Amino acid sequence: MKILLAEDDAAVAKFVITGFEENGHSVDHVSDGRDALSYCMYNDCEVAVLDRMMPGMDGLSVLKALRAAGKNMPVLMLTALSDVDNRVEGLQAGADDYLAKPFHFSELLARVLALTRRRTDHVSQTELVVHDLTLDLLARTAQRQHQLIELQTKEFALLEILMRNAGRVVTRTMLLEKVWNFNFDPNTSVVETHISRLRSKVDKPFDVALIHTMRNTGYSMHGPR
Amino acid sequence: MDRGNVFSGGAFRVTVYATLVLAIVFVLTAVAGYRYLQEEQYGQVRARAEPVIGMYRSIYSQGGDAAVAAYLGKTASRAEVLSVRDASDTRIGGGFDLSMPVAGWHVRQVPTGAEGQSEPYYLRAEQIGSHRFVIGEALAPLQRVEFIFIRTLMSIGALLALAFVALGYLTSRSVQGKLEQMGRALQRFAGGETDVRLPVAAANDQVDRIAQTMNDQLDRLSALMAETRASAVAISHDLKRPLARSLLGMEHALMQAEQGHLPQATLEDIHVELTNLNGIFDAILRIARIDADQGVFQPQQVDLVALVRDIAETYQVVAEESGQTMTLELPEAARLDVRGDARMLTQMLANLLQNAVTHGRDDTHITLRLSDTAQGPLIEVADTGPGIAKADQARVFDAFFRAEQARSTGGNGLGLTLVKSVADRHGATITLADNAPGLRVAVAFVPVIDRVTHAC
Repeated sequence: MKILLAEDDAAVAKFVITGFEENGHSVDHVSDGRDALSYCMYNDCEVAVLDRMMPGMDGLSVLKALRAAGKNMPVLMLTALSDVDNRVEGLQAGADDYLAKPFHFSELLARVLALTRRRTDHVSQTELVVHDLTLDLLARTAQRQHQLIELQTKEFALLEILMRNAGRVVTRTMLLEKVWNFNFDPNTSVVETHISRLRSKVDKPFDVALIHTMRNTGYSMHGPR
Repeated sequence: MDRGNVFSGGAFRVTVYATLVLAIVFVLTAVAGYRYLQEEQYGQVRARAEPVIGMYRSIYSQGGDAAVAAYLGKTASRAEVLSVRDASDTRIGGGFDLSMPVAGWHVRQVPTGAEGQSEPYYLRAEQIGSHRFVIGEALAPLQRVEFIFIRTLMSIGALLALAFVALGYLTSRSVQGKLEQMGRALQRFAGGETDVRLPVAAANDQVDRIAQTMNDQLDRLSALMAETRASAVAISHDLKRPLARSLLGMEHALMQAEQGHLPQATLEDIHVELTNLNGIFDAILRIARIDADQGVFQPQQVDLVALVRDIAETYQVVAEESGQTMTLELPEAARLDVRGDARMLTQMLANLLQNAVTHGRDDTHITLRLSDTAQGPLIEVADTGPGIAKADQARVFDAFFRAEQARSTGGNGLGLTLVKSVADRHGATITLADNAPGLRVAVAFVPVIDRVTHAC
């Protein structure tokens, strides 16, 4: 996958580029907002990672210009921590996701992959399937090996996100944002306890575990490989 | 002291204006009084002349011109009679030789000496029989009275004006002196002498009262400065701990690598420390932003029933997984609105519920209650855990404060600080109470005033 990274901090850029490359992606790097804009106008990339504060042109302006020019590649915005609460502004300008600095590379990777994944999703999808687990999005029920599984609201939301990103890592932070609408880390086991509940319903009674813990990162859902 | 400042002082200016007004009043009074006095005196001259004329007329009516001449001849002239001439225009009485053909009262210069000197007299001519009388008095004594009147009035006026101005100067100087002292004290305060206070005189005038108010503010300011200094120290201290551990860890990892061992475990420890450090920064920035009011807070109508129900659902699971129980109590109303930020309020409740879970024991029971009181919506988080010692209750909202029994449970000591910031931002009052056993935290909101409805 081809990724554009617009980031003026050379040290951060170096780690991010190495990280992506080690995971089998190719990265083009620019450190100026204007360069980022012209790159996106004339080159193809699958995802753009834009720093919000850049010399030349700030990330938000680059994004607005891109969207105005009809470029609709997914964009992830990197931002100072204090901007996190202003994420609405970024999302309104057309950002697909937001990540506050400092971040873990695994978090960035998971989010970038989730963004490319979302592109291929069909909006009309009414059913998600992972191995022998089926989630009916209309009836809001789960079924595994012909057994109906009762789920609470949060458990359903949790399972839906994991299944939509089947085979990929979903981080704790992403889950907190999407399931609980928490833009903060409550310093707790909120995610862990709900995953544990979910496992006891979805995995425990069956022979194959589908929810896998990725150490220091988050969770991934997939059938036996 | 700068004299210019004294003269431009309010007190001095007021007295100058007062003195000017006084002067105008005095001049008007003097003019009116002078006129009145003069009128009165002239009236008295006329009144004194009347009986004299009457007497001569009665002598004339009894004995004619001869009786008048005989009376003039045998009596010393009366002072009021200035001059008398007979039919042949020969002077036959009076101290002066005046010919006054005009009837009525007039002021005339009357020659008094050989060298052509003259004096003003108030006089009138009167024909009795064939005699022509000139009756009147010199104006000099009258003018002396008038002069004394004016002089007295002016002296009093001048004295008063002088007293006014002096009083104004002294008052202005005293105020100026106090203000200059205040200025110097504030300068010293700004220079770092936080124990300096403004002098407050016993007079308790406006300046003293302002000085007192300013002193109260200075008290608060210096307390705040001390607090800021203390929390800066606390922040550095709390940030240094994970930094120190990370640095030691890095050294250890490098050593392990040199010796050909994999430093995996050590690096993971460092990772945890740095993640903690990041968490502290995150919390500090978040609190600062909530407190700072830089357009972050855009209050909207938030339904507390939905918000509380949603968070309860999450924490019921968390509590149960920790072997605790949690109940939710909601008001009868379908919704209960406050104006605020749903994310901030969610975080506030998450922090409170997490505290109850973290500090609670296995059998702790947590109650999350939302009620609609007459004073406004009230959210209570009550637990049967260890509670907070009375002595610590006032300080738990301070940044980085951790009560003795909470030290072992981790956390960065910023959770309740954030809770307080969110409550303050929403104009809500937060109180801690003994739940016997345990802790009860109550957040009392102000009711939403629906402006639209009220305007209609």
